[in-house]
Parts: sequence; C-alpha cells; structure tokens
Amino acid sequence: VAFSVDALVSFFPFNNSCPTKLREPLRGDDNLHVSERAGTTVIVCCPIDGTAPRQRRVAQDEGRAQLKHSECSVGNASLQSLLRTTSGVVFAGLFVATLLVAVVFGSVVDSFTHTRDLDHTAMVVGDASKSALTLASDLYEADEAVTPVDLSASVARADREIRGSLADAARVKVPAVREAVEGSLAAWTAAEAQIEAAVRGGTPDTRQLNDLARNVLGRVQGAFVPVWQATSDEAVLRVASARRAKTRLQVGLVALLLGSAAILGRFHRRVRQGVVAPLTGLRAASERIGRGDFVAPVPMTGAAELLDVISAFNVMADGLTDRARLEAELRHAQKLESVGQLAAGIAHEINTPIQFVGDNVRFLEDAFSDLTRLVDAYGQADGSPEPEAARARARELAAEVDTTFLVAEVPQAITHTLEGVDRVATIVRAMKAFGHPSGEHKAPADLNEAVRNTLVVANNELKCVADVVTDLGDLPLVQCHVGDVNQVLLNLVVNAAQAVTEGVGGAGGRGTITVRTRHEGDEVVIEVVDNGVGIPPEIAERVFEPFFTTKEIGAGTGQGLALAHALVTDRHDGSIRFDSRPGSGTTFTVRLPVGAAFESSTPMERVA
Amino acid sequence: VNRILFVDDEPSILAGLRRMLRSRQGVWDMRFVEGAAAGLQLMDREPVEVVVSDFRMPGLDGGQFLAEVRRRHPDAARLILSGHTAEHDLMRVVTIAHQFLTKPSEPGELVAAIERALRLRHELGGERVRAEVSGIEALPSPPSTFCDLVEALESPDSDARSVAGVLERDVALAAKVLQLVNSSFFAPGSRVASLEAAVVRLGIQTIRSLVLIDEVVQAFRVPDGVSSDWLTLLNAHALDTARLARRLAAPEERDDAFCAGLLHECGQLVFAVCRPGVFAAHLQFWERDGRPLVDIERETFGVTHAQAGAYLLSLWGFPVQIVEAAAHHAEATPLEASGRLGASGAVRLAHLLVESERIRLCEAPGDAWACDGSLQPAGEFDAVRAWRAERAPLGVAS
Repeated sequence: VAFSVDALVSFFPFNNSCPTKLREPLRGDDNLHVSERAGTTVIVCCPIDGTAPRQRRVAQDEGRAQLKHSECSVGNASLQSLLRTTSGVVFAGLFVATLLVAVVFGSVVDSFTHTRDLDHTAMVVGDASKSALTLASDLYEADEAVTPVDLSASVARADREIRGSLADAARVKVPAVREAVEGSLAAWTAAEAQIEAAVRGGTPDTRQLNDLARNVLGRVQGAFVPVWQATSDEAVLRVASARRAKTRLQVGLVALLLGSAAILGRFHRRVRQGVVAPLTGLRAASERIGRGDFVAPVPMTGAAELLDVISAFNVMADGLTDRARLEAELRHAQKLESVGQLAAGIAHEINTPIQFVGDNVRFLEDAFSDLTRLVDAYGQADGSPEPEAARARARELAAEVDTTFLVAEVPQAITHTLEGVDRVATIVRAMKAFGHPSGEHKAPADLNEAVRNTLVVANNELKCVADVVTDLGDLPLVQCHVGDVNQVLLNLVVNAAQAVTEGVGGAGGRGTITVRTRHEGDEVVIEVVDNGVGIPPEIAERVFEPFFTTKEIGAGTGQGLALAHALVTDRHDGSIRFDSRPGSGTTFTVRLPVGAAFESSTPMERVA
Repeated sequence: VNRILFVDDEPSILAGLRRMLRSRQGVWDMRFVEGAAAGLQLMDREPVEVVVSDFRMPGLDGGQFLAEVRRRHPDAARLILSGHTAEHDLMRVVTIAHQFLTKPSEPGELVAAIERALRLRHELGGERVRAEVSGIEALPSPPSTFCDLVEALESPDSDARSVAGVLERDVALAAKVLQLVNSSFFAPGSRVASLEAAVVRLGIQTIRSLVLIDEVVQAFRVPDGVSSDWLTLLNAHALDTARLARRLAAPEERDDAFCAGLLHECGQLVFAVCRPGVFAAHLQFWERDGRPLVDIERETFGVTHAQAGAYLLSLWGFPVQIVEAAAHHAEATPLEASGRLGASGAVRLAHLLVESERIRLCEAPGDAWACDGSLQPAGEFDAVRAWRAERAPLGVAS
C-alpha cells in the first residue's frame, strides 16, 4: 500500500527536515511498517533520508481511519504530473537514442565508405613510394659506386617495399584503387624483369648501370603514382561524401528530435485539454452536485470516450435533478399533508366548542324569553284589578317555565359559553403561533411556548390515543426558525401518537406521550417520549431516511421524520436522535444550540 | 315516550344539547351519556329508540360504538353527530349510521333528524321487522353496477352526467348516494334530489370510495322462487317511473318526483334482503292470484313493502315527499285529479302507468290503469303521450 506524503506528514510528527525530502510518494513496504496489536496500531516510519526510524502508537480505530484515509489518496499522482513525467522521460529517451543513432550511424557510414582504409592506404602508399624513392635516389646519388650487386639488392628491397605497399593498398575494396594497384604491379614486374635481364645479360659499365638505376627510379615512381593518385582522389571523394552524409544525418536527427518534442508537446496539450480539463470539469460538477446545486451541465468537450462519460454524467445529473425536485415536491406534499390533516383536526377541535356555545346561547335565548314573559306576568299582576288571580297565573307560568331549572342552568350555560369561546380563542391563537412563517433569519423564540402551541394544534390527533404530559424546564430564548421547530415537534408528537396507536391504542387502551424540555450547557434539549410500539432495531438506521415508512402505501409519505431530521441538523446545526426499546416505547431527543439569543436576551430583559 | 340517547366524550357538548333540547323534554325521554361504554351499558338496561353519537371518542369511537349498537339493539335508529371531517373515517360509517349530522348543527336540524327517524316507527308493526329494516347496510344492486360504475369513473371523458346515468339504473346505489348527499355531513346546506347534482356535490372521489366499500355494492343472489330477472325489472320499472313522474310533476317538484320515483319500490328490495323466503312466497301468490302485492303482504305478513320502504327511507333521513311517495305508491285510494301533482301524486300516477303498460311489479293485472280519462287534458295527458312515444329504458319490454 502506498501512502500519500501529505497524509503521513500530518500523521507523523516529523522533524522539519524530513517532510521536504519525502515529496515522493512513500512505498509502504520500504518505509512504513504497520502492525496492530491489542487495540493499538503501531506505525514505524523509516524516512528515506536515513535518519533514525520513528514510530507512533495510536488507537486502532484512529490508525485504521488514518490508513484508510491515506489509502484513499494513494496513488494518486495526478494525470497531469504523470503526463509531465512521461513527456520528460520520453523526451530524454529520444535525446539519448538520437545520440546513439548518430554515433552508430557515423561508424556504419564510415565502414561502408571505407574512408578509413583509403586514408590508411594513401598513407601506406605514400610512405612506400617515399621509401622506394629514397631507395632509387640512393641509387641515383651513388653514381660512381653502382655495382650490379648493389643494384640487384636495391631492386630487391624496392620490390619488397613496393609489393608490400601494394598488397596493403589492394586490401581497399575500391575498384579504382584495385585497378591502379594491378596496373602498378604489372608495370613494376615488367620493369623488374627488364632490370634483372639487363643486370644478368651484359657487363654493365657504370654508365649503363646508372641508366638502369635511373630507370628503376622511374619505374618505382611509375608504379606508385597511379595508386597514390587513385587512392587519394577516391579518399577525398569518399570522405567528403561521408561527411555530407553525417551532416545530413545529424540535421535529420535534430529535426526528428525537435519534431518529436513538438509532437510530445502537442500530445501533452491534447491530453490536457481532452482528458485533464474535462476531468477537472467533472470533478467540479460532482462537487457542485454534492452541494445540491444542479444548475449547469458539464460542457461537452474532450476526447470521444470522455464525451460519452460526460454525457452519461449529465444524464445522471439530470436524473438527480429530477430526483431532487421530486424530493422537494414530496417534502412540500408532506407539509401540505400535515397541514391538511391538522386542518381537519383543528376543524373538529373548533366545531366542538362552537356546537355547545351555540346550544347554550340558544338555551339562554329561550330562557330569557321565558323570563321576560314571567316578568311581564308579574308586572301585569301588580297593576291588575284582580292581583290575586293574576299572581296565580304568574305562578303557574313560573312553574311552566321551570324557574328552578333556569336558575340552576343559566349561570352554568353562561360559564360553558365563555369556556367554549375561550377554547376557540386558545386554538386560534395556537394556530396563529404555529403557522408563524419561517423567515430567512433566525429569531429568538420561547420553545416552551412552541411546545404548548404544537400540543394544542395537534390535540385532536393525540387526545383519543394518549394522555399528554408536559415537563417544561426553564429555557432561555433560542435563536431559531420557530416555524421549523413547530414542524419538528408536530412530526414527533404525531409520530408518537401513531406509535401509541399501534402499541396500546388498538386494544382500546391509552398510551402516554411525555414532552420534556431542559437547558443543558449551551443547548436546549427537547424530548418526546412515548410508550408505543418502539422502533425495531433492524429499521433503526433507516428511520430518518426520506421515503422510508412502515405504514401502508398511501398512509404516509415517509417524509415526517426525514423532514424533522433535515430541519434540525441542516437548518439549526442541532442533533436529533432516538432511543427505542421495541414494545415499550421510544424517546426522541432534539438538541438545539441556544445561539446568540441567550447572550443578547439578558441585557434586553434588563433594559425592559 | 321515545327514549333518545346522546353519547359524546365532551361533557360540555352534552350539557349544551340538554339545555338546547329543553323544550323537547316533555316529548322525548332524553339521556346524555359520556362515552361509548356508558352508552352501551344504558342501552342494555333500558330500550332506546334513537342513538345520537359523536364520532371521535377515546376508547370505542362512534363507528365502533354504533356497530356494536346495531349488533345488540338493531331496532334503534343510529345517528352520527360529529365535527370530524376526514372522509376516510366517514366512509367507515356510511353503512352503519342512518343519518349523518355535522357539528355545529343548524338549530332544529337535529330535532328534525330525530323526528324523521321516529316518524314511521310505530306504523311498522313489530319490533322484529323494524330491527331488520334498520339493520340493513345497503340494498342489493344488480351485478353489472360495479363494472359499469368503475368504467364510467375511469373513462377519460367521465362526467357527472355519465356517472349519474349509471346510478339511476341501480335503485340501491342511488338511494345510498342520495342519502349521503342529503346529510349535512357530506354536503352541508341545500337539499339535493337530482343524481347529477349529487355526483357533483359528493365528488367523483367520494363516489369511488363508496363503490369500493364491500357492503355498499353488494353481490346479491336473487332469492329462490323469485324470477332471475326480477332485480333488472325492478330497476327498469323504477327508472321508467322516475322519468314519467318527472314529466308529470309540477315544475318545482320535478327533481323530488324523479328521486321519489326511483326509490318508490325500495321496499321490495328491503324484503328481498331481510326476508327472502317470505318475499318469494308473496311474489308467487301475487302471480297466481292476480291480486295487488300489498294486499297479500298485509294479509299474510302484516307489513307491506311500501311501509318497509318508507320506513327505511325515513330512517335514512329522506325528506317527507320522497318517503310518502314510497309509502303511498301502491295505495288503492283514487288518484287526485288536480292540475298540479306533487311528487307523491306524480309517482303514484307514473307507477300505475308503468305497471299497466310496461312492467308489472306489484299491482294486480289489468285493472291497474283504468283509462286516460282522468288525466288533465293539457298537462298530464301530453306528458303521458310524450312518455309513450319515447323509447323505454333498457331492459323494459314494451
């Protein structure tokens, strides 16, 4: 496993000299030894600068996490640097190869053109002719002293020289030189025979001998001239052409080198534009999508294979966009659903007091008209000529309208009416507070009030299945979107009511839902406790997942708890978790940071 | 004295009702009870004629409570009085409660509903027959209704007219729809007598939910001894009567006349459901003896299908005109030959015409319709002529 330097540098407390030397990726085998023993990860690092090995012990979990992190970044020399390295290596290789080719090719050219042989031959022939000339001129100089014996010896020496030199020259595989050698040999052989004959045949006097010696001199010269000439002519020619060939070759190679450098550069650029740039674009787009920004598709540029990848990516992003839109719509639908459900419940909550307020007022109306009639009857009795009879009629009427009943019931009817009106007012007030729109900015809010309002609003969902107990501690004002908190509380208590219905409600019994609040450090804690069915451990991980629901299709969107989770964690940096025992109930705990309101609220209150 | 039982989980509601109904104290013996369990206990102790229950209560809710009441005391009329508005729950009680009232109820509405439930109670012989009628969840529908209705509802160009077209071919379902639409629960406010308006008021969605309740569109087996196309003939007779009654009635009574005509024979359906054996025997006597069906029923059973139908319609909260049309459709009293026929008169006349000219369902053969002479020349005669000219509804042998 290779570890990236950055991960290791951050992991090991290297001294300051070490990291800069470790800019190359480390290879695990050579430089790192990782072992796990009894819950501890021991990592030994042998820095490549030869300094003493260092070791670090960490807890196993942390070690694994670190190693995992390192593994993630293994490797992972970027394509760009890979490209740069590759281009450098290829270019250097080309350069060396070019040099080698130049050297090898030069020698090959030389061996093919025999320039070296020709040079040598020319030199040998030159030397030979020089020595032959020296010999002949010796003869010539020794004008008086020439004896046949001397002459013969000189000729023999000249012959050795000449034949040796010509044999050397004959090795040159150049036709012109070879022809010249053959001609020269023939000429020399003829000359030699002539001289031999002359020496053997007569009695040579000094003059004749001198002539012969001169003749030999001439022949020797004659024997070498054509060869020398042919050799040197050919050598000049060949050397010149070899030199030209070498120059061309070098120019060609340099051109080739430059050309391949250009091609490499172009390739480099093409790869950068066609692969690296689109990949960078894809990475940026992935990050954008990761942030939930689905706006722009990745531009369709790059290599053909990458175009396929990009178009597939764009299709995927489109799909994700649709999904994100769908999720948003569903969240909205869930809100609407809960609003609709609430509206029905609240309608019922309000209809009940309105029913009995109406009944009571109608009764009061009747009672008042009865009493008016009674008062009239008594009034008439006072002014009547027959007061006794009129009073008797009035008493009869009193019995008929049942004044005892009225006296008992009217005050109660009024009390009930006022109670009913109060109830409607409470519900309407709670609704108004509950529906308080969540603005862009958080504002300080009393969460106990939010709990009370939510319980009033949700009362219709709760009262038939559970007794609601509240245990509200002293809370500071919390900086929050109170509408969101209301929604979270509503979803939790409705969820609790459903859990209770599934648990004990089915048997006609009632459960208990407890809502607690308290202040802990810089957090406000809200707990919603039910004694319902509980959450089976196998679905515990999915509870906050959008669309996850245990209810029948059509009975819930599976968004309630997911929405609560999103509102608490994303909008408020709070946390929401639950603790459940199947069969005996669930506790949801919401923690919200108090935020700036706590500090700012105290002086404000002091001013007030 | 009729005993009325009010059940609610809110003491304030009960106290309010007690005070508001003070003036009825001499007429009814009213009991106000908190909670369903206490209500059942009271009913076990003493007979109760009408139960008015809240829907949403802890423990047993209104639906469960009334279902239990139907099981233990089927004779009692069952009314729901609730502020609850979730349709999902309402559908649970459409076959259990007789009438549906919403909170807050209009003044007098509750009294009127209770009176409707009580009106024909004592005309209907013994308690057993009453119990059987008030225990009915729904009347039998022809087997084709379900498919036809689903087709009409699913069709892309489905509208109130096409759905109403299916409903008017089925007396049972038409009765249920009209019962619901005339309860303040489902359609607060005005009274609705036309099926098309009923479909519009209830909404396609509610009709669909209604159809999907098993008890509402029942699979019905025609009783042994009854001709297999009896139900088809009855529905055709009803529709034909309804159409003719609409022509005959005074303009302001036309919708009521149609509705009353459609429902006037529902008593036969009641007997077919409650007493299939007795009903089959009655039909056989009727065919053999050539006497009106009501006469046979009165002699052998004591209760006529006209009375049973009227009682059911009254129990279900139908208005007086429609109940009377059902009650009097087979009476031997001479026709009133006035110029302006009410719904009841129009249904009686239409019934006799359909009996004598198209489908005989309960009258004696031959003498059902004497002559056209008693028709008013200007009004009814033209209407009858126009009716005779038009094609008979499906299934009517002319």
